Amino acid sequence: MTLRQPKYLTLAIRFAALGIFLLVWDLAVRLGWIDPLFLATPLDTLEHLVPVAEHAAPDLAITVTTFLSAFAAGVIVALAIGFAIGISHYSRRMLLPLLALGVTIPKVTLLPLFILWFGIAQTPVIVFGALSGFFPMVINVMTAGGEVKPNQVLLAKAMGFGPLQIFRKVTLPAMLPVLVSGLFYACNASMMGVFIVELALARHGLGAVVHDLAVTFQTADMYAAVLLTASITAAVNMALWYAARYFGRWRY
Amino acid sequence: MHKLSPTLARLLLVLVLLVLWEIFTRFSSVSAILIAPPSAILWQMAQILVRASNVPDFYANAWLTIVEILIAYAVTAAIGVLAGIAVASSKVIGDAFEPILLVLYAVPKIILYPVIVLMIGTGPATKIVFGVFVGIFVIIFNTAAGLRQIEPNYLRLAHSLGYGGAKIFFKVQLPAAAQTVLAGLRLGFGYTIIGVLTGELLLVNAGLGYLIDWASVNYYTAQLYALIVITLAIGVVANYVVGRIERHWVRG
Amino acid sequence: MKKSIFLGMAALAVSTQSAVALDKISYGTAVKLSPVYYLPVLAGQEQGIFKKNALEVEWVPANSGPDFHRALAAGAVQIGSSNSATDIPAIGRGAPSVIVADLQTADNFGIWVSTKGHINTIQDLKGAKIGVSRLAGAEDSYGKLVASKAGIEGMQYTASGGVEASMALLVTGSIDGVVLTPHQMIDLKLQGKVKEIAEVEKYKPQPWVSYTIVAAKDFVAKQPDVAKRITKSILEANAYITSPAGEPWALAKMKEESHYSDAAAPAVYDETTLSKDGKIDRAAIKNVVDFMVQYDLIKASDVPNIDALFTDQFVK
Repeated sequence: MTLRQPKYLTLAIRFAALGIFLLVWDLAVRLGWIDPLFLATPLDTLEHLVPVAEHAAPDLAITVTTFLSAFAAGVIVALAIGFAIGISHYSRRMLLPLLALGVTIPKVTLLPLFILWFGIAQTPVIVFGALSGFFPMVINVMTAGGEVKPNQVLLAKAMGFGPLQIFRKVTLPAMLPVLVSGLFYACNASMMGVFIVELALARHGLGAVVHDLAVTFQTADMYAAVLLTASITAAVNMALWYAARYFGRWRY
Repeated sequence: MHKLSPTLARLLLVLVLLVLWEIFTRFSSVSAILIAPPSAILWQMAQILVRASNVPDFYANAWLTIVEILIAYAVTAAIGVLAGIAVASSKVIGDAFEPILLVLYAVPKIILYPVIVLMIGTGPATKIVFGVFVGIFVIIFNTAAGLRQIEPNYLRLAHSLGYGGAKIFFKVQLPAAAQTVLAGLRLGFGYTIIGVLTGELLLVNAGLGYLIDWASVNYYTAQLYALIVITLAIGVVANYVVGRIERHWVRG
Repeated sequence: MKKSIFLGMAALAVSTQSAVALDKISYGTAVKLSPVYYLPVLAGQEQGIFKKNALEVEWVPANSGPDFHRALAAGAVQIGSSNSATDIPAIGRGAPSVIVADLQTADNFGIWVSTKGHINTIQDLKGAKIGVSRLAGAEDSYGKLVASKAGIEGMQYTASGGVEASMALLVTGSIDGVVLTPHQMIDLKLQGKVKEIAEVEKYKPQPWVSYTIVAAKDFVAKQPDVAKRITKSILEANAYITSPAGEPWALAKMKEESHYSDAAAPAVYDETTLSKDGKIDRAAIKNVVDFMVQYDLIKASDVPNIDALFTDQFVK
């Protein structure tokens, strides 16, 4: 009884919160607080979801593949550079402040340079998305090294473990929580990066679809497309968040 | 073997990159409307700071952006930490709202910009609100995660010592979570800056974003990069200040 | 004998087919969703006009005039459609671009107001707050042009962002008017939400050139033949679009790309006066330059030598 009640209570609160949110959203449009040019009712958005998804299916595919490529690239490079730098305390101290800057740079203003270097196909989108995810991830990778307790490593060595075993049994588990939290932020940052460039270039992908719908005031279609984009990001977000919680600690 | 201090090594690295960039710009055929050599950029930076540049009202605009960032961050940090505490302290509230927060985090906030303009207008308030939207989630998630990860043993120990709820919170939970919470506050600061600047770039009437856009559309390439570097410098200084405050608090 | 001639001719036919290699071009446009920009390119692709001129063309829309000129400078596109109001400052500030043809003489900007507001005649604009995409841009000066020629005092200008943000401000009454084009406003006009209170075209000095075909200087110098063919193709596409044969295609295309309603598309079509010969009038270019200097859109020191702005080698 004590275990079941909280679960129902949780669901009840969630539904209540969702309900209030949808109600306010719907009223805002119906009562004209917000002009229908800029906001569509929840019902309208849902009605347009399937037609938009069908129509934008190729762009959806492009965005998903671009996002996955960007996310993977950003994370892999972050892992490589992060580990390489993280090994030495010296290089960590030297480079961490520089890399921390990376989050603050308004990368959007450097878009013309991206086009210069990477052309106007999907490459600049992937690079931008990868960079967006790289910075939060690399900071996490480098600080994850600090999670490894030297005593545990010494103990493992004393017990006769080889370097690979130490890595698997001591180092990696200690670093895992921070790494997964890094993945969580990098994922969202990558997706936002991809979306923003697609929005700016307006050529391919869901960002381009949203751009065209926004400029021509196809409001319900636009929000449907946004819902579609958000669903993808939310799915990966949630998977990573609960994975991070599963791994227990989330320390820097 | 004498090793340079990390700071010096960092400076040398940056210097080498600048020299390479200078050589590249001077000897390549890339158009002047795309990149500028570091020497020109540094010269423009000096000009801008002594008001001898053609950048319109630099100090007034820079100050406006700094104020927007500070207000946005104050709001973001306050609400973010409080929300994080709420999510972490009650299992019911946490489990109920977590998925909602994750979904909201997944929505590309940039498409809501016209709605914000509709509701709030074209002044600094709009950019502040947008900065809050972009920066708040990182702080909420990190605060919640930081508070949750505390070893149950610590809490049991505190209980057995007879500590009350508030005492446990301030003397046990908060210090243990401090590192994670502060890391979230720093990442959130970076994202708040991005939010405010993006808002200024979307509605270009004031602030550093306005100046950056002005330089971009008028092809004042050196000024453009000079302004971006100055914006970065502001971020660096702010980061440094926040870091000092963090060290002070963690010690206390 | 007949057989070998036949075989010989067949072989020749096959070899010439494969010998006609198409030149690949990336054609840019300053923005994406303006019919003046996309109709000619899409007509060229879909009606085989590019293929006929031995070209394979990819459309690469930019997000703004400066972005387009940067794309030209970076070699991402070789040639494209733009507006003189953005070309002249670009070239004056060192962009390696050159105008090669007139695409459409008028751009039909207007001052639009909300139908729910208090502005009903042009004189009501006195003291009005007008939104423009950015200050000191072309729209800003168009507003000032109307103000000075129509004798309206006290008009103020404020940056109102893109179309969406500008409409948000117009709808809430934060601004009284906005300077935009019919192709952006048409659906809203037909819904009865906005009306055009002043037409900028009426006040422009004549002759004038609005929409242009612009190419990278490098491209014109090194591949003049290809540049000529692509320019001719676009002008052919213009002729097709403005012909009775092309009208249904153009209307359908506009509905598809710009999501125009059945009533809106013909209205926009009627305003489309794409040039068929692309001839550049030096006096028109000079008028635009003088206008821009007068309204501080370019500095006198940046004023380029007028003849350096364009070349009419492809449209003579």
